[in-house]
Amino acid sequence: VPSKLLFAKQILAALGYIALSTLDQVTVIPFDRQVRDVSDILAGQGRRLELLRFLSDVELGSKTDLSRVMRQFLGRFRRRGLVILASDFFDPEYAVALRMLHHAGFDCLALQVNDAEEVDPPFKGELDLVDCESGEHLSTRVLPDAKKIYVEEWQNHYAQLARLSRAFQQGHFAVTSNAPLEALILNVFRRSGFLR
Amino acid sequence: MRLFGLPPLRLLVVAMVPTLWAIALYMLKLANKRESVAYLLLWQRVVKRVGSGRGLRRFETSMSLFLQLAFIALLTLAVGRPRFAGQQQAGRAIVFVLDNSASMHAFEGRKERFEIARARLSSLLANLADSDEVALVVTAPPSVLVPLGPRTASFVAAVDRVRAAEEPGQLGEAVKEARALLSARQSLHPGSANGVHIITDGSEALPQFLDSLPMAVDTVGRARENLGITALGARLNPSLANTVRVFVEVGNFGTRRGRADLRLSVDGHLFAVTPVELGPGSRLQRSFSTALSERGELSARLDRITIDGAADALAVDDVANASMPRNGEVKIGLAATNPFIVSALVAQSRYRIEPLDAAHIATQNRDYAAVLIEGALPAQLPPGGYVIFAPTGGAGDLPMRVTSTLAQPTFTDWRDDHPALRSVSLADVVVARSAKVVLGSDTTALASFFDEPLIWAVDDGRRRAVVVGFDPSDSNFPLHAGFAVLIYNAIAWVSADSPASAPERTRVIDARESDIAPTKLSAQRGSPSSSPRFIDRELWPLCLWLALALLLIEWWTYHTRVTS
Repeated sequence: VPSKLLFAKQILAALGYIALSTLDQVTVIPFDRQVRDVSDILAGQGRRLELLRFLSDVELGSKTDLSRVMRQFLGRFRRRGLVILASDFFDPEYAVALRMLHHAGFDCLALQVNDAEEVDPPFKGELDLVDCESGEHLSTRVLPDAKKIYVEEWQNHYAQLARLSRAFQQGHFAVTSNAPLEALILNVFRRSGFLR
Repeated sequence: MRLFGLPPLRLLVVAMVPTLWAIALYMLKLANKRESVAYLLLWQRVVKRVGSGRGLRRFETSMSLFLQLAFIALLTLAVGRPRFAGQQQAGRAIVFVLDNSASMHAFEGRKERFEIARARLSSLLANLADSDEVALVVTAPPSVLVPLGPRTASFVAAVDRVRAAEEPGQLGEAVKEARALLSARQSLHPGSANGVHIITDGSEALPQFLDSLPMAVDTVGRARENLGITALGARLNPSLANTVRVFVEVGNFGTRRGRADLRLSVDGHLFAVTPVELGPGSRLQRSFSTALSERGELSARLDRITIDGAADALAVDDVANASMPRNGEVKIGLAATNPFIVSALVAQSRYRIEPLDAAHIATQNRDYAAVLIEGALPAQLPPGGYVIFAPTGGAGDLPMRVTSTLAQPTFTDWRDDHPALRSVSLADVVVARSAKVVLGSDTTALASFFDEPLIWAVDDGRRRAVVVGFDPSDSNFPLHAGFAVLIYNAIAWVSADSPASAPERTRVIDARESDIAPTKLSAQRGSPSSSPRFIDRELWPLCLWLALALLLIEWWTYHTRVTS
């Protein structure tokens, strides 16, 4: 789902840009089933361009495995700080990852990024649904009542994420890729403490 | 239900091709469209909750195919031209009553109603089963043209030969004829299906007894504009020798104002032209004088008819013909001395009056057109015509019996449709006394005081008589114009078969026929009837409509993704 990735990169670029401008250190850690190429620890305004280049080079990976990624992350980064976890959280193990972050003493902002079509699937009828990460198939008929149930399941899924974030005193912010970016970034900045 | 198009086997073959095609397309369509989703687990949960297409949901998947197959089946059925016939069984008997009255000459567009009716009859005949028996009855005059029998070429030829008449129809009488045919067949084949199929323009009301008869009514035509001549007559002018008074009535039977030129001619020689203008539903009477023309043919014609924004639909009532009255002398035997009677007779120049002795009428009757008798009647009246006043002395051998006297009777009822009372009003007539009589057979009360006849007619085949039960001197009747008219009418009626009189030939379309709006029948058809009716109906339009409905349902379900 490229648009979702692009949208996440835009938000993270903005957040990273501000962080570097305020002399904070920033590290970008792309992941799928494992941690991919990690950026250097960036600090200072002179590294802003490097940050943007790094983000723009991030490409789609394979299936997400958040718990494994989190183990790798905690193994490499001991210094506590703010972790902005940008994901669609379409991984049954995301709760484990959040718990690990919490117990390791990291502050976390769960940035939930979704495509608009995920919220309201545009397809109907007899379909062969294919998981874009795992490649799994499911033949089913998407009728209006099935779509209604899908929306319920979708809401339950993220309601659980929100509950978990609250329980761990972590931030949770949901965005869809068709939302206006500027207003969204300001909102995220305020929620995450970048702006007051 | 029967098929009148392709036979069932060929229909199956025809249906096979699109059916197989639809099934093949459906099978190809079963390869589902692929859609990429971000998280299949959510959809797996959905499937778990909704189910994977069991029971009715499986049917929904195939609904598209079912709809398409039903669509093909309906189209194929339409090609087979199915007909639904109520009481459909072998050996039906159907009497077709074809309205051929004058109103069927009315034009519906470019075709006469009768042509439309005949085409409809031909269409019905073509769709009958070979074992059905048919008969043809027409309404003008009511008669059986073809009795019940198989539908042969001669029957079809008889239908082709029928023409619309120029006289009023008698639908009720025609249906009675039809019923008689069916009754005769019913007695031979009890339990067989039968019925009457009437094809008419509805200008006549159906009789009430039809409720008990299985029937179907086909109507042709609708309300249209019409101007027509509804009455034409000529009488000798009593006040001016050798002249004739001509009476014409014109009616407007439409809903718009109409104008025309009324042209009158005798033997082709025009003697009067007058413009007439009539509002919707109105009648107009005109009288004219013309010179007497012996054995002449009087003709009235409506010319240059203009109706606001419409055409005159019926042409046959625009012309009327009548014969001119004869100028021959009428020989009257007078056995009366009443001065009023004598004065009335003397005023008519055509009458040659000869005095008679009533007691010797049997021997003195010398080819009188009519004999006027006052008072006592002879014991025996020879064949002939009689006008009798105050038969106080007895009734002779006429079928009536004088019993006593009625004091001060007044006229409560009279029949102005009888020729003897035409144009006679008895409204203000006062009578001091009248004979009280008991009428026998062959008599008709023409005017009465409740149930007591005051004027009556006798017609036993040999003798005709108009009897006035009171002495004119005992009433104010002679002071009314109707008195003389009654005497003249009575003489004309009783002498109808005498050599001195001649039958009047008239050809005027009845006003009922000129009124070509099918309102009467329509109103009656609207009434509920529990009687069984023949239903003989083409079903292919219904098949096409159903197929179209299925097409719309398929379209709707596809676009709402109920089916795919």
